[in-house]
Amino acid sequence: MASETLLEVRDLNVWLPAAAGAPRVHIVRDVSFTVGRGERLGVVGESGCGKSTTLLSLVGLLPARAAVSGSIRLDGVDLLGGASPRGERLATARGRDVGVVLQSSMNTLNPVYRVGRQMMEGLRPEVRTDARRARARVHDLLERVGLPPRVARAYPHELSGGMRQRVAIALALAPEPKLLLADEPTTALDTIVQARVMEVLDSLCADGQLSVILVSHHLALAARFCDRLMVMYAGRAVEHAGRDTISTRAGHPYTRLLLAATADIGMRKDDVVSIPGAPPSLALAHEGCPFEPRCPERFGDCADRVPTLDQIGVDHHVGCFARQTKGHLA
Amino acid sequence: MRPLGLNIRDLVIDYPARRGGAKTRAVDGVNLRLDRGEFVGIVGESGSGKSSIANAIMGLASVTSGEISLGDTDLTALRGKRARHARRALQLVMQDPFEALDPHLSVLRLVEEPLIVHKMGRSKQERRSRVREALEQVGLSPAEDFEGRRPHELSGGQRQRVCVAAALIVNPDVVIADEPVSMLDVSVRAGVLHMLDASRRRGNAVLMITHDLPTAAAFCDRLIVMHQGRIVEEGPSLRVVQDPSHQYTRELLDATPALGAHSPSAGS
Repeated sequence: MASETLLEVRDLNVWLPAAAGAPRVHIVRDVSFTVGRGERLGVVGESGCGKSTTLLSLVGLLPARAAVSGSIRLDGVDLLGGASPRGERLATARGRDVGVVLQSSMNTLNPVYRVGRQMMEGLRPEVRTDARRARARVHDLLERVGLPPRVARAYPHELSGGMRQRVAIALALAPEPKLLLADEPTTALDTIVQARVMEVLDSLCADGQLSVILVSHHLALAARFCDRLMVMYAGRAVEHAGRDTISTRAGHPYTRLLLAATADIGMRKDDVVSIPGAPPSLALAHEGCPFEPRCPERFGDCADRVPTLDQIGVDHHVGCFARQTKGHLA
Repeated sequence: MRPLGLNIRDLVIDYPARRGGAKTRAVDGVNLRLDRGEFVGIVGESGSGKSSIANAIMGLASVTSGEISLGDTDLTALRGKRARHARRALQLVMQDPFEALDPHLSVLRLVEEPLIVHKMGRSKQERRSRVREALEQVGLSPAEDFEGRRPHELSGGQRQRVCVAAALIVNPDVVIADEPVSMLDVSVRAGVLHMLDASRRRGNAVLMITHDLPTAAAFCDRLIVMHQGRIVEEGPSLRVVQDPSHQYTRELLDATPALGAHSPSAGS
């Protein structure tokens, strides 16, 4: 695990406005985590559990009416600093220190400009203003994501989905960020293309300089790529651990059920189960552990109080009363 | 008498050339047999031709040459009303349950519609009771709680169950499911697949098209691996994933993220 902390998020809370008259919705609840330099953190969970909102709040890409509290420190600089969620420091960080790759690269790329021109706009000013250097840099970036220089002359619609997603990664890398945020970067792609895009991400991290936060609903993919995983449920982090710990000794019943719902090669149909019920609506107030209604291990305390994250092993934190009472036996 | 099964012989599908280029051969001589009650998976990457086969079976893609028959009926030779009638026996469940359902209609109307189109169910009461039965069968239970809802009032998994109910209600012989769970959360995928699996008790076969090899292997009796328009491997599911004989199947397996096997390059 990387020792030096690059990103430190403390007590992050995000509220989004609901329909007129309704109370605002508490989307992200007391989420804290760190990402070391060169480290890869995976954020997993079902849709609507706050993964993407957490990620987007790091770069100020939330709607203007969102309210954010807590602290986000990148290389020691507080990006929120008590300012609005679209504060200038967030915007600067987004452009320079943090790159973002979203699920649909067709929406990231401008359809009327050639790829090369779009990439030049992302370069640091000193490189961008020198045409020859800029072109060389664009070709270098394309090469890093495994694409030939001719792609710079192409329009987005002329590229396949996998190539477009690689261009989107190259675009995010153009300003040489320290941290890459990837929100379901391969969900729209098939298995083979997905593997190639993940290989590209892997190679970019090889020198240990780039940190990545990967948001994915695909637990096996995240476990394969990331060093550590954070499992989110109903806006909260319910488990933090190294990926091997998650695959072999997951603590939270939700994580265990997600693992059981993920088909693995050689599994038979009776081994693959779904999780009964659905995540709670974040617009409705509820007491107790949000997973309690679906949890096979629930007992007395679960309906009354929200469990806090407790350490149950080395670098292993779980927010579950069942684990905490059983302690280290879990 | 119910037809015996689906039989595809020497299927070729070409897509027309674009601006002077050569035509694209999407499916290149495919033979495939699907018997009653079988659950078969076609796996392959985008562009391998797997969805073209599904579309050709459904009459949504024109067949360049070859034959698609259900029992004794050659589907490629039928036109108009007779084609529509024959195709009641073939039902398609599409990838995106958000787009497949008309947002204005209630669940009752959505599931009832195929009965009206195929002139099944004499009275409104009879249709209604069949809709309830179909909803219960796909786990939308009690049906009374669901039939008045519109698609936006359902979760993704529930929407896909509505699509399956609308497919099963006309008693098809073959249900073709094109990436039926890839848009759904992992937590609800197994539920939809177990339901498709259970539908075979009615005698229908299921043909699932997917790029998700582990899921296909778990649920299907037999797997067909396609690459560049051709079948490169087929066999019992577990044999195909545990002892693949074709190089491409091995590539597909290597590209599949697994919880057990981590890539060494990711560091451990």
